[in-house]
Amino acid sequence: MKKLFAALSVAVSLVACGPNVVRDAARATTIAGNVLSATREQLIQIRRAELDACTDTECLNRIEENWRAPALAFESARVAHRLLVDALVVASIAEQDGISIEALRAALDALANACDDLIAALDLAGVNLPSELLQAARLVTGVLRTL
Amino acid sequence: MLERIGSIGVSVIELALRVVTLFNRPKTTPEELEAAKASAPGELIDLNERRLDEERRSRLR
Repeated sequence: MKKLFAALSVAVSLVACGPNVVRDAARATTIAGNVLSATREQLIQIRRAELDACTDTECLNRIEENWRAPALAFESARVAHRLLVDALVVASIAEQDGISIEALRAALDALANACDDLIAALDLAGVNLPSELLQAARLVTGVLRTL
Repeated sequence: MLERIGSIGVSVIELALRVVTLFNRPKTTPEELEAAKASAPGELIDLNERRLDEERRSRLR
């Protein structure tokens, strides 16, 4: 009986200190959103500088065309972030409910994939993000996938 | 007899885990949800950027 109570108390303390996926996901979503916002600020500055250096409309056309794919990839990441927030709200109402947690995990994966696509699109377009921001983005995608 | 005590023990542990999961797990706070919502980035090429693009284009025409 003593052993049973010992096992019970260990199990109870483990669960009490255990993770809350919804809470962790909320924090990861905030960090991902902040990294995306910082990336946006940098990208706007880079794009403006490229366009401001143009001396004719052909140059403007070429640069605007070059930014089309990164802009679309950024929009996908933005939408994925919004959908993740929606999944978070549902999951927080149904705390630890299995189906909402699965939906939340799918939304976390979708944002991680969208961030990877954005990094790839920027690379293809020859846009260089500051290395710290790139590292932060890669770290965030890793965290989103591990939750 | 030992088997029965064992199975009762397992049931008690399961019940305790469910109760603790329901009541003791730290809940997501409204502030954490609001912070997640507020972190949403804006469009990359928003209305302001489009206006600047147009102005730049008209200057070069």
